[in-house]
Amino acid sequence: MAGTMSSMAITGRAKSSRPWPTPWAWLLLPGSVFLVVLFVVPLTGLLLLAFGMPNWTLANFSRIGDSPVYLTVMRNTLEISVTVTALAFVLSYPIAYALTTGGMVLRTFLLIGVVLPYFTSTLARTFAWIVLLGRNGVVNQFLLEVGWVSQPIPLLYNRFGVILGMTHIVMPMMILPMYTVMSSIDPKLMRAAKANGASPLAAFLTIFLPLSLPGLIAGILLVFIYCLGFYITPALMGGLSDVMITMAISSQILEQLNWNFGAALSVVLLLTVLSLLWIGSRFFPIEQLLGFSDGKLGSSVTRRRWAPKC
Amino acid sequence: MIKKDRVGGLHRGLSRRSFVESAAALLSVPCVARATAAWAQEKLAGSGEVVVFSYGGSYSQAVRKYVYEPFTKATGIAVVDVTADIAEPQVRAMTRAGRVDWDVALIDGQNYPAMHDAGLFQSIDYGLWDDEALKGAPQSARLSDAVVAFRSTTLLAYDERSFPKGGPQNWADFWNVKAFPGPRGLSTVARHMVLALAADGVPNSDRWPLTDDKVERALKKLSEIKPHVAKWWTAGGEPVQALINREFVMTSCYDGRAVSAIRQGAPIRMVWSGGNLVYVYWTVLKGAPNSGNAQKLVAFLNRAQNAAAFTLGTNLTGPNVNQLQHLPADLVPLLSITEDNASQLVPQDDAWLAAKRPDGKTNVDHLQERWLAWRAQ
Repeated sequence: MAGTMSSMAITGRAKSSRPWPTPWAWLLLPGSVFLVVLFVVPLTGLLLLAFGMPNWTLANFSRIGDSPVYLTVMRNTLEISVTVTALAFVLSYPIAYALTTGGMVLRTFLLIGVVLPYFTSTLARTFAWIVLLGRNGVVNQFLLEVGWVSQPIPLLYNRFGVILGMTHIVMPMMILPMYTVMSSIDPKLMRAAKANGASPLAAFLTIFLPLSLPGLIAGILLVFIYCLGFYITPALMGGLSDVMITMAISSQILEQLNWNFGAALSVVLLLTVLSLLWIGSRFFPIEQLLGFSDGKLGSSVTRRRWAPKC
Repeated sequence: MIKKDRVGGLHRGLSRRSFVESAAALLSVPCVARATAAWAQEKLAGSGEVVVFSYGGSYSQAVRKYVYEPFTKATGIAVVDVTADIAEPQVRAMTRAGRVDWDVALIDGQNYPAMHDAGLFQSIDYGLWDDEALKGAPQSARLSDAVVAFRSTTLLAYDERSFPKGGPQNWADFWNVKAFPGPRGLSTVARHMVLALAADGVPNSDRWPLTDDKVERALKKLSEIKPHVAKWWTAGGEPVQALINREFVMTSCYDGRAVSAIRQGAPIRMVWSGGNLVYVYWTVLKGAPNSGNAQKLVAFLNRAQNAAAFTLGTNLTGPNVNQLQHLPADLVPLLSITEDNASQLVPQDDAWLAAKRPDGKTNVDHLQERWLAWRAQ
């Protein structure tokens, strides 16, 4: 099977290298203009600012290196993002699986449950947590009433609060890409595996899990990158030490009015994301997510696993 | 974000008392307007419009009703308000782009020195001002290219329900968790570390400049109270809400927010001792399209009656002390410009904050970094 998969991938590649441009290539124009004006230009401006345009200097970057505090803040940011991504993954995979394999009623219920909060503002969701988890919040009142605790327990304004709040917000972003990929997996493959004597667990591990990998990676990447840029939730639900890099950037841009330094911090964040993506691409077929390969879902995974040098 | 937070939520949780108050205030507005209209016409009358920065929300609603509408009635100049959280980033961006669309902006004291040095503001035309306003607003509030718009104080506020036998009287009491037990709140603003110095016995006159040894002293003192701080607030609306919800028994708080809550009947008391006083300035931008009208608006704003209306509407207090004659007697003791309250406050040394250190960073940069290191550990 692996052989057919990789040959499919190769034919997919071959087909995609057909002559270009097509008569419809002009359709690219509006999108490209949009991207250039609203993405490339500001990003270049940001880079130039970070290097002190017009008085070129590296001072802003050396300032980041000089003070250990930005390292601490970056470490905080990564710690929180990794934890939230891991937690969101663990919680989301079963939900996505249930969405794929469950019946109509369960699927509808779960989809509404996943998508509805996505339409609610992050701020509103964050405040809802404050109502629930505060010192006099619903959860603490219940615990006191039942007598499980004698003092309200601190559920908010610490790392726990940040991670809980952020996980809640990012879960739809984890579930939906996984669900999309999982629902395109041919259920006959699982049946075939079982018919050939594989246990349900073995069938899942050898068939379903590898085939769902692209969705899983897409979800993890989306969520992780989104987490790095989080601002509202850690500010409102976090404790004093839960400072993320975005807070430092915002304070430089809005309060200190030191745009050059704020831009330098943003460049550091951007480079962190890009290098993580690059490292990730060494181990996972990220290029598929980024659209460099138009092979069938799962095919490049198989290709990588069986013919990593192709 | 921080600045917008100082301005109160006037229209939140309208109680009966606050309704009666607002109604009374509303009725008094036309009188103020009519009284001023009669003699304003010859001096400040004009035409066209003036574009003014506004914080949005309840601030914008109040300032429109209490100040801009009377201004338009008196002078014939329409006021267009543009909303943002804070003005400085946009002012800087407009100046860089060489196209200034606004006339009047509110500038935070800590940003004023650098923006003044960059020459972003026009001179204020004090010739348009009434004698009364020039006498009422102290010289220190009337700079060559900026006028204090309001004074914002970070002070101690407490929930009086938690201390029936009398609450804390100063910042030392805030640190005294034995005599005044209960969860506290403090802000994440680096400059507010000066309040810890007040608690540590540094006299008000020695607070500024905030030299490195004083910074370390303040942070050490903050480490003492850290376990008792339930939440380090970021948004200015948080501390008042947390007092009302009994999440805090005492907290640092912006005076405008506290006054707004007290006027709505919240059981909150303010302690002025050792508060950190910050000025926010009205400025007329260089290259402003309607600078003549802008100068007129600034002059109008500083007449005692209009200053009183501004205070009544926004709970933020301008510098003209003559406004006190036009304000309800129960509101006056809650304001930072009464002699009694003002004498207990320490103005923030904005010029020092903006000054450069030997290593090229500004003092406020250093403060910010030191604070970040302390909080992130």
